[in-house]
Parts: sequence; structure tokens; C-alpha cells
Amino acid sequence: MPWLTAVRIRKRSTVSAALVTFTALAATAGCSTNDSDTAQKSPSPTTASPTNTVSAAEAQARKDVIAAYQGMNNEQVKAYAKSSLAGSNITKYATGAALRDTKDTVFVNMQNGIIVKGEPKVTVTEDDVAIDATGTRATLTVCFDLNTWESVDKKTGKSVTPPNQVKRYTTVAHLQEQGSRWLVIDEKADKAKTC
Amino acid sequence: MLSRPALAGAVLAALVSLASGEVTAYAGGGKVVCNERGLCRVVADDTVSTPGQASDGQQASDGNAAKPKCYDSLVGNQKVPCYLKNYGYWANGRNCYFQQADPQPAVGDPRWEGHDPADGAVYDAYCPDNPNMTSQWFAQPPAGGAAVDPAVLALEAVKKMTLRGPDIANPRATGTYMVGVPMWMWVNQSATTYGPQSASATAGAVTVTATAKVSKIVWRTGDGASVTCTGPGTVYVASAGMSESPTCGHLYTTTSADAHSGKYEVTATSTWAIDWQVTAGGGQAGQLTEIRQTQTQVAIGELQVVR
Repeated sequence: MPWLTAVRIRKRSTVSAALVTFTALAATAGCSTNDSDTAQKSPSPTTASPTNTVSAAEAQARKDVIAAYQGMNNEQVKAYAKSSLAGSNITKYATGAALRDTKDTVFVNMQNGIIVKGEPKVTVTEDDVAIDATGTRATLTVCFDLNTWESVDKKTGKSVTPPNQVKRYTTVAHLQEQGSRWLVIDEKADKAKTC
Repeated sequence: MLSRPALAGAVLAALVSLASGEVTAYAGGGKVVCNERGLCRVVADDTVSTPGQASDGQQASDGNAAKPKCYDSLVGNQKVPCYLKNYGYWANGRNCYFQQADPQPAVGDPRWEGHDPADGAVYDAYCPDNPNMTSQWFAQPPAGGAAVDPAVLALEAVKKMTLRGPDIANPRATGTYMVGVPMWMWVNQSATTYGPQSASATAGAVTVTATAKVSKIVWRTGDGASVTCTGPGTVYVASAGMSESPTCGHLYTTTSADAHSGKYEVTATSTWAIDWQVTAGGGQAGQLTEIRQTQTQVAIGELQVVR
């Protein structure tokens, strides 16, 4: 039983708490004298430098990327909760395939009388952001937990989540800077990759 | 005490048995769909089925049957909403929703498909049956069927407003006015009697906002005269003495003694000028007018000069 309890506690940790924890860890790692260990733990994907230090501009870009992703996530939570994009600001955060996937989810749910209750737990840190050399494209690796995001029949309130679902896994999102805004252009789940 | 692997196995077995029970529950129909983020749901086999059509599935695929106003021809002409907020309008035949991209992409963006921004617009597309189509350029709006007439919406906006006749402050029915003495005419100004006031009406993606304000008041003074005032008039103050109103007045030359019930019927007719414009979903604008009346009576006496 102890391991089950441990898992439950970890799942309950809030996103913000997780962020703080991981950020603190990263900072500690940066000061570590064990350079090889540091590099292995948090390889910087954008620079050749073996250290964790990033420019102020890149640090800001990473924050903006995460904010855009969380913006999309929030808009999806709101839209899926009512199966409608009315009043949604989703286009401020998502475009292309990511926007299409949002529309498709709402449309399919709407046609099937499904709403999605709660919200997923999204765990992401600035070290999970990789910005390419042009500075306009980013890859974001996310630990996504939808144990707390439940698809239900709007009328009966009964769950319509299929059985035997992996509910905590890694997703990879791609973002692009368009007109000084970061937008999520796609996101793919990798359910084989736990986190 | 169970060992860890044994416990895990027991838990797994419990999960599987629970799961198979749930599967049985869905055996009556349905399939699992997952979105790109991995959110999975059990939905009807026919995921664009609409309420009321479920028991008559054959009709939808019958080409001779009456088609719904908006339908997906790739899924047996099934009915779909003609408009959805943030999707735009459904285009029959294209089987997609289109909404003009806001903001439009930068010049040179591939979504322009090589066209000049002056020649048309980029539309966000949602096509239930085509995940690869997310954008399309059009010279003309693609879904003409569900077009909304902003002028009709403007009328609806006007209906939401309370437009009353002038709130006549002077002349008063209880007042006494004299032949040969300038009468000043003015109205009290409030949103419902003088403006400005605004209201909006929305249909689909189009919102029209109308603003109404009184542009003129025509006074028929009951003695055959008519005075047009382009403002609310000027409030009389005693210091003005016998002078005429600088903005809106009348001078009676005959008493009302011979008029019906001994008073002149005064009618103030305001013209509400209404400017409307499309505040969402386009750029059209226009004007409307509405007419409202208020009546009062005024007794015009003769100055008795006492010697």
C-alpha cells in the first residue's frame, strides 16, 4: 500500500507547486560542481554550452512558451466543460493542428452530448522548453495527467471515458512565434512514455 | 501481507474485471475516439448523428430525401449546425466550417496561398472529416447561404431601445402665455427622450450596434405654424425679459379662445437619427430614423392693459 499512497500524493501535487519544485532543482543543478551530472540531467537543447545558463531573452521566451501552452490548456478546459467555443480565446493560444484538434474535440463532444469536467494536471518547467536557432519555434515536453479531467455524459453525468486508459503520460507540443505571440501549433500524446 | 508484485497483480486483476464490465456496458454500440492530447471518449458509432435522426438512419443516406439546411455530404448528408461560434458558417459541399482568420496572417504567410491580401481573405477551416484542412483562402466569403443582413439586425437593435417622444418642459399645459409675447420652447433631455442611447443585436457572427440621438424637433404650435428646432431649445431665464428664444421659439398672434376647448394643441415631433454599424463580423454601417410625438395644450391669452 505505501507505494500507492505515494503515487496518489504525487498526482495531487499542484502544477504551481511542481513548477516551483522543479525550478528550484534546476537552479541547484546550475550551481553544482558535478558538471557531467548536470549536463545529463538538464541538457540545454539550444546552445552548445554545457551549462544551464540561458540568455535573458531565451529565459523570457521559455516563460512565454509555457504561458501560451497553459493559455491553450485553460481555454480547452473552459470550452470542453460546456462543449462550446463561444466566448473562447483559444485562437490567442492555438493555431493550425492544435486549434483544429480543439475544435474537433468540442464538435465531437457536442454531437455526442459529452462535457469534460475538472481539468488536467499539466506539469512543465522552463527546462522542458527547447527553442530552435531562429528563436521562433519551440518544442515543449509536458507531463500530462488527465486523472482529474473526466469526460461525462451531459445528461446522465456518467463517465464516458473508455476503460483501461493510461491517464498520465508525456505529450510534446510545438509552438511558433507569430506576430510576437507564441501559439501552440500542435500537440501529440505519447502514452507509452510515462512521467 | 501480500508481496508488492502480488499486490500489483491483484490490483491489475481487479481493474481488468472492472474494465470488462464497462466494456459490456458499451457493447450496445459506440466507439472510442481520442484527440491529439490523448483525451479519449466513447462516442456513438456515427459521431455526427443528431438527435431525432438516430432512429431513422436510412433517411440520411437516401439521396432523394429532403436534405437538412446544413449537412455533411461525406457522412450521409447528416445535419450539422449551420453556425457555431468560433467555427463560423458551415459550407455545404465543402463540408467545412469557415471563419475569417482574425488577425489575418502576415503578408507572405503560406496561408495566403500566394494571393495578395487585397484580393480576398484567409479563413480558418474546421472540416470534421478532414484533419489536414485548417485554413483556406477565398476571394469571396465561402458560406453565402447563412448570410446575415446587418440592416435587419440594426432594426432589431433599434427595437431594444426605448425611444420616446420629446419631454416637453415648455410650454406647459398649466402655463399662461400671451399674444405678442415670445414663447420659448425647450425639452428636458434624457436618454429615452433625447438620447444618445445605444443597443446591439447579434446573429451568428455579426453584431450590429446602433446609437440613437434626436436630430430635430418639429413643433406644431396649433395656430397653423410649424417651427423646426435642431436642438433641445433654450431654457428661459427671467433676465431674458421679452426677447425671443435664441434657438427655439414662437410668437402667437391670435388667442386660443376660439380653439377647441380654448387651448391650442401643441405637438412636438422628434426625429431620432440612428447610426448603426457592424461592430463584429464586418464593416458595414448605415442610418435609420424613427419619429416620436408628444402633445400638450397651451392657452394663449391677451395681455390686458390696465389703465
